[in-house]
Amino acid sequence: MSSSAENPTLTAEITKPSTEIATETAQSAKKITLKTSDDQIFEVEESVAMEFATVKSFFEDAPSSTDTVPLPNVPAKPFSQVIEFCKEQIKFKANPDETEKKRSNSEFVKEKTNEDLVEMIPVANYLEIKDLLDVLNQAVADRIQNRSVEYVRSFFGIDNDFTSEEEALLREEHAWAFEDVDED
Amino acid sequence: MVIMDLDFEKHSKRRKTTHEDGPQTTGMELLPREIARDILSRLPITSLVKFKCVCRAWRAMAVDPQVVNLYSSCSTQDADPCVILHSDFPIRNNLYFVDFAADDEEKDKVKRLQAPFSSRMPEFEVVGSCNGLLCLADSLYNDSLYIYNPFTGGYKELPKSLQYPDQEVVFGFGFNP
Repeated sequence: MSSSAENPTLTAEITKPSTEIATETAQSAKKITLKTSDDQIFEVEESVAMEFATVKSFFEDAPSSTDTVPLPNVPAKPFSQVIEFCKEQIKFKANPDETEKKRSNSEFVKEKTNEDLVEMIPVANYLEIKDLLDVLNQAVADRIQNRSVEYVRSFFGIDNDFTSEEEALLREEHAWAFEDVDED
Repeated sequence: MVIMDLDFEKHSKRRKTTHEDGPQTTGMELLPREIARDILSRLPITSLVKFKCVCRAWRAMAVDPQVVNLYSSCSTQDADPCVILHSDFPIRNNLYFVDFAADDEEKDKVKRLQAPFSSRMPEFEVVGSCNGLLCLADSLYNDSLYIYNPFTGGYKELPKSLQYPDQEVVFGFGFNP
């Protein structure tokens, strides 16, 4: 939902004129082209792309490849948010500051909708970005804890496959866990 | 004197995995199973138990040994302890649970656990607790021993110790890793 606002800035950065990039060091100048499942092309700085373990191992197998890397399981919307996260992470690689990193991470998830988080998780998982996955899983756990069962179902889009008798029995068995539920 | 050193975890796991219907989906098409497990293991115990009602896959995952193992490693880090109280007043033989995760002032922190074996053992004493499990002894006839997991509601009666014709038994409860 919120990503439409972020995409233009992303495109602006990507379309930086190549002459300007050439003045930077060879390491940071290199861009990697990635294609999402919905056929969007992303040009990402190599240092950022190397945060994606899946992409990294692709280049370890074929170091001189200049081909576009297809990401068949990654739609553009969550991917642009994942790139946003990894750009921030790189700053902390050069300049480790755990407190600042934590603050930045919680800032990152705070402004995301539930839908954003749920969409980003499989992307982070596919790209094997461990730090992001950890941040996302914790954020999701924080958002669903103490909520109602119905809230969790709609959060993830889960269909209730219990019969009403089965569910009533389960609720009765664990009645203590159903006291004091946060309002949806 | 009989000291009960139990490798109970192993038994309970085997039992749990066989009776669950263990579907391969998480109910979340996009989420791989290990992710769903990871998220569940980060929840407070009250939420973990409650979310068994979300769907069949979540019910199976809540007692999945992998989640249970992840869970114990997570909760020792966060050091949010669980306290179980055994109370005989005003009603005899009630177990209560102090929910430290309910940090909201308005919330009831003490919750009553419904013991599933109350009809078989109306009066009991707590022998001890270990790794989140309770060992309970029948205090009315003093011949039955149960291992009870207060959060999953699972329990198991232990075989009786009848080594000598005229014996006095003292119970203890520990874990041999």
